[in-house]
Amino acid sequence: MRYRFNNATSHIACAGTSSLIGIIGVGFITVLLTTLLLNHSIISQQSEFKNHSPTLVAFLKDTVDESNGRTLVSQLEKNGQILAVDYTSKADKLARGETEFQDLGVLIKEAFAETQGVIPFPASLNVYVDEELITRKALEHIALEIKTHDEIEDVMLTGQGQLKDRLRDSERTMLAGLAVAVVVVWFIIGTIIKRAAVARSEEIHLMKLLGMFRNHLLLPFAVHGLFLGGVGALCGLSCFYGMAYVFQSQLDGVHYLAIYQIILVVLAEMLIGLLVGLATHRKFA
Amino acid sequence: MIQVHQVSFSYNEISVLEQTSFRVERGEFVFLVGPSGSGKTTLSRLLYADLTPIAGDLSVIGQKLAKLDKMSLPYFRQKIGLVFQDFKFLPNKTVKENLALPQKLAGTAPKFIKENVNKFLHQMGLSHHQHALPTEISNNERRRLAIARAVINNPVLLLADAPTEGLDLRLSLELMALLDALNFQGMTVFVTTTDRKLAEKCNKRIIELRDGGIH
Repeated sequence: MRYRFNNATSHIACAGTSSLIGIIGVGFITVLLTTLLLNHSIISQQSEFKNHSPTLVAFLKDTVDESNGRTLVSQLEKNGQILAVDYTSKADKLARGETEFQDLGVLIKEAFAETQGVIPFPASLNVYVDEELITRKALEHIALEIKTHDEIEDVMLTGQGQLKDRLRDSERTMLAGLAVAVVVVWFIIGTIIKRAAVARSEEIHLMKLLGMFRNHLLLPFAVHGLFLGGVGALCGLSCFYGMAYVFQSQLDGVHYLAIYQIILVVLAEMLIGLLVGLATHRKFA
Repeated sequence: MIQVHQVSFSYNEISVLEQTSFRVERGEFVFLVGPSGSGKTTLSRLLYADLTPIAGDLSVIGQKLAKLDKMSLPYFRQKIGLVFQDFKFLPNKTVKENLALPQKLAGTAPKFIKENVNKFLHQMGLSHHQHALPTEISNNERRRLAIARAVINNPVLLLADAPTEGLDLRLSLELMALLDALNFQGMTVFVTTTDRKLAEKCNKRIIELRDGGIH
């Protein structure tokens, strides 16, 4: 066991400063990957938070009564891209105002009771659209279509759709980044392990002549790959959070990845290292 | 033990061996004699499957080399002891670690490795150099270390490529006495040398390699 351990450590040492450069390279890629992952996580959290908000709010004209409003709801629900439409009356809005705006809502309600005037909140339709299926352009098209109805005063995009767009964009960017990271990490670790193997080529050839089994060098190659991937990932994460801590005032606080995401990043890079190690072993041993 | 039948080999179309044939029986001590560049080392490398012939059949310790695959090659090589012309030691490992290498590769238990290594270091008079690097010991000691490493796994065949190269007659004869003792214990010994006189003095069978063929 001690011999195998020494064999593995001497194999890593064979790559010399290349191993250090490899760790820096893997660390740099980890920083980029963590940035993309964190960006995606933050947008995802925001989107989750706003998940129950309607995609569009259509404000009804003051002249439209509740029965006309509900007729419009059933008309709009015929559109296949609209999931649901909720009617919110002026009275509901007034009641909700108290909850949502607290003191200001109470003040408005009291003012309404005193004056018995027109309720300042318009009745509205909350429109829910399946945002996974439609594009931003289609969403704008639906908004324009709703606005053509005479009963509608104005249509507002709540930003939920926009957030979903950002989430989709960040998802695409993250996947592309992930693919590039895998290729680059594979290349970096592969190059370093090959350098170590080339540095030991005479030794490997001698051991083959003396009857070395193929799996004798499996452990050193695998350990080298795991070492470069794991240490590189940990260094990258440390650098990322180190920089985030230093620049926290400009970054509006330090955001942390979930512990499972950190573990996943380290494990993924270790897995790449292991696979590269095994692939290089097949070639050299 | 060794069967070489119509074996040919060339480096980049320069022919080194042409339809070479000979046999070595179990327990024999044979010298392969020939001038420098006659193909002795090449033939030796063919015998331990480091090179592949372009034509002909090779059979060593009952194994047809053409049929050796990657899985069975290590088992085959562990049955052969090799003394290389340039020794091929691991320069950053001590004498003791170099000697232990074939045993470690064969998967011998650490306890037995320690015992065997100490025994061979003592037999070869290298005990006091066990922690030295191969570059820190004399040429003659390196040769003894090379032989010790070749025989530590108790092989059935010892292939020694020019083991007396650069030694004076006295030291060469000392070395031959050592190989003779191993042969006496039943090990088949195949030695390549340029020194025909030494081979004649040892009174063993001589195979002469000249112009790519056996004479």
